[in-house]
Amino acid sequence: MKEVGKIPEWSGYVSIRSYVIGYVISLLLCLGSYWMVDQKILNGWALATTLLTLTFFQAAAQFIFFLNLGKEPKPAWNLIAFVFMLVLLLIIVIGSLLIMYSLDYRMIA
Amino acid sequence: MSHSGTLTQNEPYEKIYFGFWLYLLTDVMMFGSLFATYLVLKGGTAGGPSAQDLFHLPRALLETLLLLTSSLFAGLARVQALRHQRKGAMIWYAIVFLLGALFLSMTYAESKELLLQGYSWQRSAFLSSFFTLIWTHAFHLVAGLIWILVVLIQLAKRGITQITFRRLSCLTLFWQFLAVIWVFTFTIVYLMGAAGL
Repeated sequence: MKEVGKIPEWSGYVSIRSYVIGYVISLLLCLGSYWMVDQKILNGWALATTLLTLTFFQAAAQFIFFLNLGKEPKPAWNLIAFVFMLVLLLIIVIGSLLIMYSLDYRMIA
Repeated sequence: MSHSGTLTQNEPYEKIYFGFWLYLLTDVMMFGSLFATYLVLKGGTAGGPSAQDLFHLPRALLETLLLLTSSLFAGLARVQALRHQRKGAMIWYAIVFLLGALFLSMTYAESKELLLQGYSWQRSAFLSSFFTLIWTHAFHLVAGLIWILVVLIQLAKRGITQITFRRLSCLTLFWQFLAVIWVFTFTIVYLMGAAGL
């Protein structure tokens, strides 16, 4: 019962090593962002861009190492659905921000 | 063929896992809309406090670390389950439950502080969008905690079978998704708020 053989099916794919790598990467990025804000290293757009980049990498690390995104065999339906979600998400978020800021600008001016 | 393989090698497992994945992706879209709302409205303080005045960064960092660690432990629980170690899986998930409960109590304390100071969701558009975002996440975690209890009871009663393993896998997926969403909350609401961006 306790024998651990080769796990042939992707969604069963898990390894302690993968989880620990993901955890360490996330931890470093998280503490790094906190440190940057706490020590006031950058400000303005430079800080915002850096923070968002670090967050992006942290989310990517968790998706790859915790949620095993991209490790399934073809056809990779989970990955395809995920990418489609990302496209819609970007349209919603960037589109909303663009429209609302533009509206704000035109109303005041 | 090891027993580890048979836990995931059945059609319902793959279909349900994929279906649950799709549900989580729609959930991410909902959170994305809430983040967009927050970003649009965060300047609308109506003369009230702004993000820079309100948020306590060390607490937010501690919350982040709690959730990140619980996300790791949920993964380790699944590894244990895959190896037919029922006791190990249950212990890891019990710790996940405690970390999640601790996280929720900190969210509760923060909201209570804000409400006692008179900064409720009715104060400004900024606070409305803030509370909507935080509490939507918190309600997901409450559902997660209830789900953990259910899975723990099922593991205790039935042991690790294809069905309980499938439920545990979906729960792990759910919990780890919530941790990813919190990463964005930490950066966009707390860190960028404290930096006055």
